[in-house]
Amino acid sequence: MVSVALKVAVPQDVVFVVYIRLNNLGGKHETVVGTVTHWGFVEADPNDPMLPIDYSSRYYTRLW
Amino acid sequence: MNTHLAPDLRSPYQPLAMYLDDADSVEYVRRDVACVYRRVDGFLTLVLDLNTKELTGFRLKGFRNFFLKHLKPRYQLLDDDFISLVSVIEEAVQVMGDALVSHPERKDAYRQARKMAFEGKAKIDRPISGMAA
Repeated sequence: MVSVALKVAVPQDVVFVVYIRLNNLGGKHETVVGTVTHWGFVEADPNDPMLPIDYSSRYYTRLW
Repeated sequence: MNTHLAPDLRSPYQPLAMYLDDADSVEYVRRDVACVYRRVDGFLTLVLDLNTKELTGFRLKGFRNFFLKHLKPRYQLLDDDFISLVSVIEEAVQVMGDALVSHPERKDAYRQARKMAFEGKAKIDRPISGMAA
C-alpha cells in the first residue's frame, strides 16, 4: 500500500472543516447518524480564529 | 536483465469537473495542491492555493436542484450530452441578475470562475442521463 499524501505546513489563518449530512435530523435518537460529505480548509474568522469566517451567518446553530 | 517495461501511465489532460453525489456539488480544480475554500455565496465557492491564495478551481453547491430547475428546462439537452461549466456559470449569473450587480466582489468571483471554466473547456464528468435521474 502506497500513499501519495504529503505533509504540508498549514497557515495560521485557516481552519479545517468537515461537513456532515445528518440522517436523523430532528429525530429523538441518542446517537447522531450521518454521512461525511466533504471537508477542507476554509479561512478563519478574524475575531475568533478557531471558527470559520462568517460562521455566524453560515451556520444555524452553534453546538459547542 | 529486466525486460519488463513500465506501463505508460500518461494520458491526455481531461478537463473534467467532478459531480460529488453526497455533497451535491460540482468541483473543478486545475492543480493538485493543498487548498483553501472561500465561500462566495450559497452556490459558488472559490478554491485557492493554501499558501499563495491563487485561484486553482471552484465548487458549485446545490447543483442537482440548480440543474433540474434552471439548466434542464433551458437547454435542449440530450441524455448523452455532457454539460459545460461555462454554461452552468452563465446560467447562474442570469438567475442572480441584479444581486450580482450590487455585489462587485461576488460578481468578480463569478467572472474568475467563468474565465477558468472557459480556458479549461471543462465539462461535468457525467452525462445528462446521470444527473437527471
